[in-house]
Amino acid sequence: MSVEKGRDDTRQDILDAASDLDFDKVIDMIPYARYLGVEARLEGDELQLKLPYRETLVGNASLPALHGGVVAGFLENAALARLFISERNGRVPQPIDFSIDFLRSAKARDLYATCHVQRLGRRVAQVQAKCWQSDPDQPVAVARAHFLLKSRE
Amino acid sequence: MSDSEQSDEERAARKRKKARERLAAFTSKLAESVPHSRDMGHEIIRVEGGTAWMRQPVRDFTVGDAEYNLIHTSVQISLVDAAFGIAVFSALGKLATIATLDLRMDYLRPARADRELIARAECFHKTRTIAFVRGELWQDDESRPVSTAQGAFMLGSGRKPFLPLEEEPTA
Repeated sequence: MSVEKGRDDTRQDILDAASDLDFDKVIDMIPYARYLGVEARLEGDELQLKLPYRETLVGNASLPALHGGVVAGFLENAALARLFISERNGRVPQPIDFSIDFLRSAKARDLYATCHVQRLGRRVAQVQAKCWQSDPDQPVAVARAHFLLKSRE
Repeated sequence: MSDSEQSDEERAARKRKKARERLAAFTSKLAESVPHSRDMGHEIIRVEGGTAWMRQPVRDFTVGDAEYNLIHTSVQISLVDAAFGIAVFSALGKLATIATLDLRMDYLRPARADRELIARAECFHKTRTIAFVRGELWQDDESRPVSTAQGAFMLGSGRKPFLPLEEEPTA
């Protein structure tokens, strides 16, 4: 597991994988993104993300509906993955804040997301993300996040 | 006081008692009712007057930054979202149909993956339709939170309430 890799190389490995557009590798090096089961692929210029359904992602078993924390976590990881790809000159994004609006309940099905980097500044980036299940025009949730971009020394 | 008034009152008291018992059963068996909380290892520490304390035990998969062994910020969202729901139920004195409207996190400092994470969620205001909640997450020192959270919940959203699995209505 990557935790054991030691302190010097993981971030650089993620940046390298992102610059190679090797999304499986990027996600594989973020244990919680791997736990959630986030999948990513590039469709043209657009990064498309998928969270395959499984029972352990359910929050409300009597609906059933995905856990709010899972939906939020998926969008936060989507935003993070998007930035790793936008940010190919070696800066590591660190979360500053995150805000999500839930528009409808997420059913026990796969979830999809896209993100848009609204601003890529010298020190801060702002990313917007949305996720849906059957219809992109009927989003389950929309989110926005700020990240601090730190250069590696 | 007439007999019928007294029995109305008794009925209402019994109903409230039953609602509190169902809530207590839910919180004592959170893991059985909420599959994701079971998977994460979420534990309820205490629930009291609209405030809930919860714990995220140390787990390998909670890591976000392996280089510095930090807890992923999304793990913090999951814990506080769970705690928010419990806090709202506690403020209402019963399990109810609630839906998260929004949730906001501010990440104040990094959280270490080799330490447990504690969340405190407080339902600080409610109207007939909306509950407002705020929370803090910390590790060793409550006075140095790693993040703060705020959220709003819709009450009586018309969906099925959370139920302990063994109490599924037989319809």
